[in-house]
Amino acid sequence: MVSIRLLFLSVFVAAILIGSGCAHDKRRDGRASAAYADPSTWMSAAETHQRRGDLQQALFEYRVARTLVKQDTDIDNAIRRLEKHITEQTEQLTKRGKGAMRQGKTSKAGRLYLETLSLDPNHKDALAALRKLDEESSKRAMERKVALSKRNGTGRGRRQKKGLQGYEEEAYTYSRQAILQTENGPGNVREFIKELEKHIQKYPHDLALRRLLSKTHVKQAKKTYQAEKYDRTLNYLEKAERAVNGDKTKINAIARVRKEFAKALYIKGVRSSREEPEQALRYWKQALKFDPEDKRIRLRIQNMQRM
Amino acid sequence: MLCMLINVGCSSHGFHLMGGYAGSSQVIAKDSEFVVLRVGRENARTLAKRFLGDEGRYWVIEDANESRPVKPGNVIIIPLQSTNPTGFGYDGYQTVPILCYHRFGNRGDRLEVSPEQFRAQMKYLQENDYRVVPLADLLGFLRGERALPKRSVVLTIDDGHRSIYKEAFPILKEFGYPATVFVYSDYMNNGGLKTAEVAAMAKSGLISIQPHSKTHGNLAVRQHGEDRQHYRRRIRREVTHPITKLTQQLGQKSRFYAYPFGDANDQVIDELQANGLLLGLTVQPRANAAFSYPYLLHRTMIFGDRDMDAFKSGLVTYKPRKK
Repeated sequence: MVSIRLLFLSVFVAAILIGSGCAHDKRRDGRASAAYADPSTWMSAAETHQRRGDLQQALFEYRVARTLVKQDTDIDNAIRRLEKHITEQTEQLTKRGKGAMRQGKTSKAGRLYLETLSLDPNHKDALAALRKLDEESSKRAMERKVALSKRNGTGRGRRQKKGLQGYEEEAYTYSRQAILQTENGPGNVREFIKELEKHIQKYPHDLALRRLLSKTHVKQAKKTYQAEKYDRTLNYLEKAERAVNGDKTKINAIARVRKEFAKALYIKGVRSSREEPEQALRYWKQALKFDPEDKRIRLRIQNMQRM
Repeated sequence: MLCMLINVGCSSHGFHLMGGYAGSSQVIAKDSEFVVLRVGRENARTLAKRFLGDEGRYWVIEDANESRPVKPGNVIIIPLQSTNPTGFGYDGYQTVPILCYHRFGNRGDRLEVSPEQFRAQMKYLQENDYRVVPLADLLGFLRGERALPKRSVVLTIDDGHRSIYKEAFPILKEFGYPATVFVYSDYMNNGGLKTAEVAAMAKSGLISIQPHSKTHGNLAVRQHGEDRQHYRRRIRREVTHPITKLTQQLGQKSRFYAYPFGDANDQVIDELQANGLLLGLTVQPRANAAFSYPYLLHRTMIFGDRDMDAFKSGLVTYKPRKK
């Protein structure tokens, strides 16, 4: 009898525990979301968004509140006031946008039209004006791209000379395009170099892009030189030389950059030789790495080491 | 006895142990703009079918209730009208990336994406709540008339290589993702896709077949020795021929056009418009906003030798507004 009671009791406790456990999460979610059936939640959210300036979201929330409480004068008035405010603001913004357009200030006009749409995403005039601006800028960008296509050998004759046809020709062109489109962009230089290296690995005879890779390495070398990271500078210059694959004109141009850096380091060494002879020696040793044939630098190092 | 007790415990809060919220969804309020309801056994798709008349518009409900998942017991709202067809918000605006693929395989070419990579990319889209929409859906968005799901992405595949049918199509079917295949007509049945393959893909309802010129010559660059008149004739042929061929073979009118090498000019755009084409696609890398010019839409090239991070970086679906 006792065991039956115990069994019944334990089953009862288990049922309560399971029951409360299974409902726990859903009840919590349900309670949290139950607030969304309360118009004051939406009114309060609308007021917060309105204060922040997000009028579109505020209007949305007032409207949900109106769905929940039909014929509420306060909500109806809030909606009417906000709609009027949005209309006034968008009228003002589009007027300023048109003025900016007349003055040729297209960036400013674009910003004003974007602001208009952020208040009223259904504003047809602002959308049309932005589309016109986009058409013009897209056409300008396309003209630049087509000019690149013309300049960089996408004419059939030049491609056929390279022995590329069909898919190969297309792959080559797109690979180049992807690189050339980002050439002067704000992108990551390391990624740009990686892309160039991939292209050259696949198309080792593309001299123009070999030169572009070399030029990019030289640019990086100049940056790292300014930052006094001389070993990295040297590394970039060596890569620049390898990229042009024995092209004498380019190798000579890089040699001039090497001499330029060596000379600047030599002068730095001379300037610090009296006060900081050890630093001077470091500069000259570094200078010699850039231009190993510079006799003046060798002499300076020898003299310093004899002292 | 145990089951009874368990059920009592659960149903006192409106739940059954196995079935979630007990009843069907309970409408709390409704007018011409919104339905406010407590979700019962239904999901976003069934609710969309019931209230919006199209289960495919389930995303309208999901997007309107981002902070309140559509699950039993939760109070959600269903917007009955499209209030934001252009995707503009206070902080920025929606953009739609159009991805551009070419060939599928394992040769390691830059333009060739391996089936494994393609599957991983589709899986990434699926697992990260991107919504792959057909290119045709962009039309309403670009007119400022019809909203698109948040995180919309469009898939396109150029040229008409046979690997589209063999490798990409089965993966697209597996994920249920729509895509637009742009074919250049001289390549069809001549190394490229066979008519039967094109027809099978079109019939699936997932793939839209659209023109990508006749010969895949650059339309914006005049050929050696080509005078103005010959150039004009060539452009016309490059636009009209694939349209005619696709109409004959598939019995449907072409609506979109991808420029070979992504290059176009005013003359080419005029030709597209004269032939009733509604969108022109380039390969200028950027995502598209509702105000994008429809005849120079941007696309992001997918290269086979780029990693997943590069793929992710192309998926720009919202542009913050500069203030």
